[in-house]
Amino acid sequence: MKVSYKWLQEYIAKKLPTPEKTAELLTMYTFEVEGVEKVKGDAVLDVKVLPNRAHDCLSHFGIARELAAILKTEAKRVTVKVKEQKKLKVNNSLKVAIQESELCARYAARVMYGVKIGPSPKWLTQRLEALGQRSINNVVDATNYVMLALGQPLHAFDLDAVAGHAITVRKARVGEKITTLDGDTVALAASDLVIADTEAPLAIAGIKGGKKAEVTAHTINIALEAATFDSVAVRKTSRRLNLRTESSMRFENGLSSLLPPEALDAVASLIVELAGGETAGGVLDVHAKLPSLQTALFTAEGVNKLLGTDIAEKEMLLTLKRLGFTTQKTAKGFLVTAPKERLDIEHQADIAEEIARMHGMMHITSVLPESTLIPAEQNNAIITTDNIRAACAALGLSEVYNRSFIGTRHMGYFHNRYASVVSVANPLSDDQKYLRPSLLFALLDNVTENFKHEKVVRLFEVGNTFALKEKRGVREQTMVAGIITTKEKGKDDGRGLFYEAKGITDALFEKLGIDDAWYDDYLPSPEYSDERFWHRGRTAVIKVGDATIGTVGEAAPALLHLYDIHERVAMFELDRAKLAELAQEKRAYQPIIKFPAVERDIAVVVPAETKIDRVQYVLEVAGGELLLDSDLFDIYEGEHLEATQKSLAFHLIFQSPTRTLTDAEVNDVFKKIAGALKSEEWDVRS
Amino acid sequence: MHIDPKQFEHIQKEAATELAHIVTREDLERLRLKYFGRKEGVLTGALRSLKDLSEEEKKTVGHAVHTVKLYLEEALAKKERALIEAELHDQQRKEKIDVTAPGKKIPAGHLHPLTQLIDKACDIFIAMGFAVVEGPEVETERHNFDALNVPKDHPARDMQDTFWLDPAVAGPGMLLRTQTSSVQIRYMETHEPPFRIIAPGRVFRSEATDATHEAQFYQIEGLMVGKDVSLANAKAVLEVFFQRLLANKKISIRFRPSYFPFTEPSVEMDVTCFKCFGKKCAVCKRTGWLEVAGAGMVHPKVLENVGIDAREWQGFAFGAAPDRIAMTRYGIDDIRLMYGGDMRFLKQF
Repeated sequence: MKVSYKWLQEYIAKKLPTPEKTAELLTMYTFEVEGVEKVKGDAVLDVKVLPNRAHDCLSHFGIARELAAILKTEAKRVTVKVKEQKKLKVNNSLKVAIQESELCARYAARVMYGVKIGPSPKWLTQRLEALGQRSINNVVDATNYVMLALGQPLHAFDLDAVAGHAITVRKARVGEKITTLDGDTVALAASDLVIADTEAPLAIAGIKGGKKAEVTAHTINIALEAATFDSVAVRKTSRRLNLRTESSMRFENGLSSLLPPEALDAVASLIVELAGGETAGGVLDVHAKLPSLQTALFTAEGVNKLLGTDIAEKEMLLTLKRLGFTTQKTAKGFLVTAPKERLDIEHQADIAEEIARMHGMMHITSVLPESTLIPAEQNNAIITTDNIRAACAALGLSEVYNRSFIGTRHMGYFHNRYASVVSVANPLSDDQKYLRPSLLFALLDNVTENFKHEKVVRLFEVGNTFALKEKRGVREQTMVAGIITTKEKGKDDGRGLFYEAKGITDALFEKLGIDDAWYDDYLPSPEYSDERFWHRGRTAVIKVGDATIGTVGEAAPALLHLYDIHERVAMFELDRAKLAELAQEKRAYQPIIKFPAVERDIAVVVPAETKIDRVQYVLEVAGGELLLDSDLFDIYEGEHLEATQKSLAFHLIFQSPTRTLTDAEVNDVFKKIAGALKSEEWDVRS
Repeated sequence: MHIDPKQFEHIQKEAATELAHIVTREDLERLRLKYFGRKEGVLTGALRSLKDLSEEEKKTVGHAVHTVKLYLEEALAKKERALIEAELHDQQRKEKIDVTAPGKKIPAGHLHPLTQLIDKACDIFIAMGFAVVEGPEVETERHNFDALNVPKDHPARDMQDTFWLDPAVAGPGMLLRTQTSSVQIRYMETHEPPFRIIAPGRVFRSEATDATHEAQFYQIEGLMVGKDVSLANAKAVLEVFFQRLLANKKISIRFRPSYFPFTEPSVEMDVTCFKCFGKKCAVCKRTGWLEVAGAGMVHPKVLENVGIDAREWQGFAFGAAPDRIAMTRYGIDDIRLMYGGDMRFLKQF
């Protein structure tokens, strides 16, 4: 809210410090001042009033009360007495009825006769303009001025344009329209609250007046409104019509229904001063039971315990008095009664806030907490995540944080089968319409972008993915994904990249202490059009037991084409929850064998489709306990072999923990192994 | 047969002279063969002929031969060591390289600056007895707003522009959390006080993206509840945290009044500008302070909402902004770089 420095001074007897100093004080004790602007003969402070204090501080008096308390004094309230023309009875001139008492707690009105509409005096136009308001005429300006002074919105109607001289607060009727003071015609909804005469709406309640009863140069008699409208109703209508006004802003935050009489008297007095006229006797004041002032109980001890301070009770009471509270000593502590504008006082904590602010939040000194020494509970998921991150970085992958949103860009490629993807109801744009079902989409984008300046891209991310549950609701999973690719051509047909990715996942499992992960053939499932995602021939499903914990493989060539990537790309995605579950910090030390190892090589020619896993299994079963390890060191296909064959070469390592093996012993085992391989109809060449 | 033991003194002298002139290992080997060769070796021959001598001569001559033998063996070994050393020293001279040529690139990965910052933050809080907890990014309206004392249709909700999920598929009132404070609620609902937790995580705001705004960013939420945990305690804990995080004991913090629906009183927290350390620079807009967190005493209504007696328990909560801290720390001028995946950026951390 824009606040006039000079106006604040009017409420405070003590001389204010400079506008800059005033701004600093307000920032440190009450509200942040976002700017100070010098205008002719005045300074305008841009005060950021937060929603909890909009009730009382979207007004000059409210801010002045705060400022006075900061300066250790009190703001003075200006009281006015309206000179009424007793002969003219307000009851004879106007009728007021509230149909929607839930939405309008109070409607107070005065009537004035014979006002002379004209321009406002210079002091008033200057003040309004400095605060960013447009001067309209003396009557309208008076209503705005009093609103800026006291925070209660006001409205003036041309009494003679009010059909039937009757005002009803009701909901709009279906199909009803209103032309606002801005000249826009707005269609009203049945939930909108309006101020109507016997014919039509005169104003959208609490938001904007209408043309029908507008105060113009020809107006002579006026009706003045000071009402309390429901904050939610005003907010809903204001949002729907996209119509935010000084008035709606105040009602949205909630205003006390105790405010209208004072504001109504103030505006009537000001109008008499500016435009003459006579005020009819009495106020039309329709309301249900009025609320009592807000109260809270506090003790100095309680407040100090909450703040960790040692503020004297006397200082507390003085602060509250300066802020317009009254206090009363009771058996349970002090009963504090808030000034009528305040709607935020319920608990001792609310009182503590008032006291802390005026004591100075910056004067609260640090006190380290005293508490029992309970070590923090360990969070395994987070420990695993940390280990995963460290391992990935050690394996040469750089960490990226990608956005959680993905777009509609590639929907066509996936035949729009994003059936389980979660959509955002109010996305910022089309390319941020969905929550990512996988981390890999963004990682592919990272490859496209980085290939503009990098030859090698190696990235990983730990982040959450989202999918719809079968019925309704969202399944959120933290995933670990990595991607590797290079522009440098290898010697093979690119399969090396897959094995490198697999090497990364292997190393990751080793670091996490997961020793029973295995790689199964990949069978595309229809989930997010999987088969269009992973390369059919070069993808493995990673399992522990029967449970799938992730996938590693090449990206489908057509997918890469879509991303405009011309190199092979290998990637993996793992379920963090499963990794965390399987990760074991306990490791057992295996004694180092003191007896020498004997190494023998063996080559075996097998059909091309035979899995290496299978060959190694046969070999190790036959080798028994003396075969310590078998290490594949060459895979050969091509010359000297039939096209349907491949040759596998292994280093076999024989070793015993209890003795030095003799040649004869090793030869025996070796023969057994060769025999086992042969019995599979494989050709052994050693 | 008679051998004059004196002749061995002569042999020793001669061998010493020869040895002195040797510069290669080949010549040394030849010299060794000359004296110790199995067939022709001078000393080998002399030793062999000892058996034909009388007992008396065996003693004197034998002694003379052995003296020369020991002397020569030692001299040869010494010479060999010297020659090998010389050769190896010579190798070093020949192998000189240009040490200013670039080192071999070892492929190394990098951790994201936010990971590094959040890890460090977690370590500091763990050391102070805080447990690290996580919560979902997709939240219910209740956990993100209602239970945190942010009622429906209240302007306080406007302080955080919210992404809502399509209710037809996600169910009613599902949203992307606007603050990690939702984790407080989840934790308090399932645990008994006292509490000491922090919850780092990703949050979302429906705001147009520019150099200083992202629709997603991170928060580190903290909560400490006990019988007498106070606002002054919050200041101390946060002061220690920032001093450790920024490795500077001169860092102090400053509270300013603010408003959050879930705390009362609420404060905005400024920390000594860690670009200029209070000297006033462009980064802190010449104030010497940076706004990096919000904090306050947990609102009694929030405690009551999760079934905790607010007359018995009290405590503070805070939310810090790691993106802002990382950006200031490293001089990153565009938040979009943090979420962009550009390796030229990532490799710098």
